[in-house]
Amino acid sequence: MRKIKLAVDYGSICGGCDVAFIDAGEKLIELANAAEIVFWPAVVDGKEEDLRKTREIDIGIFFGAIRTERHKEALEQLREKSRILVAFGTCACYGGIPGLANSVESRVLLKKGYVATKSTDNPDGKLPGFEEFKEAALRLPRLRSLVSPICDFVDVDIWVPGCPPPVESVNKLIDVVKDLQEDQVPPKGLFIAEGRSLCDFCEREKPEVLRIKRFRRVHEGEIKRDECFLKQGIICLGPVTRGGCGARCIDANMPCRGCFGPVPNVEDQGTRFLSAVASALMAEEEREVGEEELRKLIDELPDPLGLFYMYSLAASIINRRYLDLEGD
Amino acid sequence: MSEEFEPKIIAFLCRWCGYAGADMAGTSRLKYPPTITPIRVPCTGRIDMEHVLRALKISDGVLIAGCHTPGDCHYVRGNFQCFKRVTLLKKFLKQMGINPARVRLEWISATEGRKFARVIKEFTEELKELGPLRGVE
Ligand code: SF4
Ligand code: SF4
Ligand code: SF4
Ligand code: FES
Repeated sequence: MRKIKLAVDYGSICGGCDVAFIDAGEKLIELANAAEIVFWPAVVDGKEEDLRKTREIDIGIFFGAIRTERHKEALEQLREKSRILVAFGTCACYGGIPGLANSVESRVLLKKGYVATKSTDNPDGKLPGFEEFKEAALRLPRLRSLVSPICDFVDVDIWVPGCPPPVESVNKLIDVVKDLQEDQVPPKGLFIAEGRSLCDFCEREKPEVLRIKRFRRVHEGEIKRDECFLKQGIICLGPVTRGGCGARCIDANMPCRGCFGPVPNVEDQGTRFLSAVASALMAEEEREVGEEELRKLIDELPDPLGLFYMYSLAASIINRRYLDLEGD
Repeated sequence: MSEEFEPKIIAFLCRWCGYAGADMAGTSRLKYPPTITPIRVPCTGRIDMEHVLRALKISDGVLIAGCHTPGDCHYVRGNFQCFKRVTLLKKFLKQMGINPARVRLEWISATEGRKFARVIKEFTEELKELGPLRGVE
């Protein structure tokens, strides 16, 4: 049977998405049999050259968010050559954890990382990407002003959300590669995940109407294993998060942080959750409680950005730093 | 520059109160700056925060005007729903470097035409001070 040409290239990654493939174990033999790996830095020996010289690739898989100019070039090259492009992992799909950096200006980040930290010795205040480091004959790629999900630049054919995607998703993607050998092309826009929210796959006991009396953090007191986290006042992004992870955090008695990205038809996962959780706070008792007390209860959520937009800030409506409060 | 800058305000107005208040201001011929684009909504409890954010991205400030708490909302607690959502949303905005004053929630009854005019005037002045909303490009 014909071998499928496959390439993997990277944006801003942590390495976890590569490891997710390794977790697939024996199934990797099926992948090795079905595919000729043209380029995949963590897996096969090879140079950028090999990818550049290859005219056509059957399936290109991109890990990571678009953080530097170099990432953007890598993505555009992969798209151009690939019949099918896969956004693998939450960083590629929604910006992921690196996207949280959009709450700070890149300039400020660079200064912090390369000048201001105590352990840094950089008397001229040189910033990578902006100056050449003659000593090392090195030119590092420039940081973009924003972290972006890949769909901001290219069409995505298959989405594999998850940070990292679970083994089941990797297995399904390997099956897609095998199907390609028989010219079975998956529908465009395929999600290797569920079409419903995580709550639909969670076995905890859910309340008819959600009411939260006060918020509490995971380390504050006992967490009941059989009751919905939200009912216990613990932030859980299940209602706005796409199912498909096998409720792995929930089973470990930890709430969902939203790594599978928004459920279908929700554009802004964080804002949708923000509305929902605000509605549930003291639901139906607001009149008795009053505005001042409600404000105090809301103040007990110190970090809506980090809690609600942890994986999707770069794909949200407010996806960047604004400059109203400088000097703050 | 701030002398010439005319802020643009998108206003979500509850039809029972804020919108009626605006009407009242109109029929009483009260003067207020022509800075607002009104959007009539059935109740402030029905305003989607995603719409508020989209509105903010194409304006300089968003006004939401609804029925007085505790008891005036026609749907019992829509005003409180909105209050809770906006209070939380403002915390997020601040974290993203947006001055939370750019989203303003006011309770304005159908008879308070005067208050409506005053709020628009005040908000316009405040936004003039702040200047246009600018994000990282
Ligand atoms: S999606 Fe998660 S595991 Fe994959 S590169 Fe991003 S941070 Fe790492
Ligand atoms: S909010 Fe969390 S704990 Fe509650 S049902 Fe949904 S996923 Fe389960
Ligand atoms: S429970 Fe939520 S955060 Fe945990 S793996 Fe599933 S989608 Fe991701
Ligand atoms: S009806 Fe006016 S705020 Fe609910």
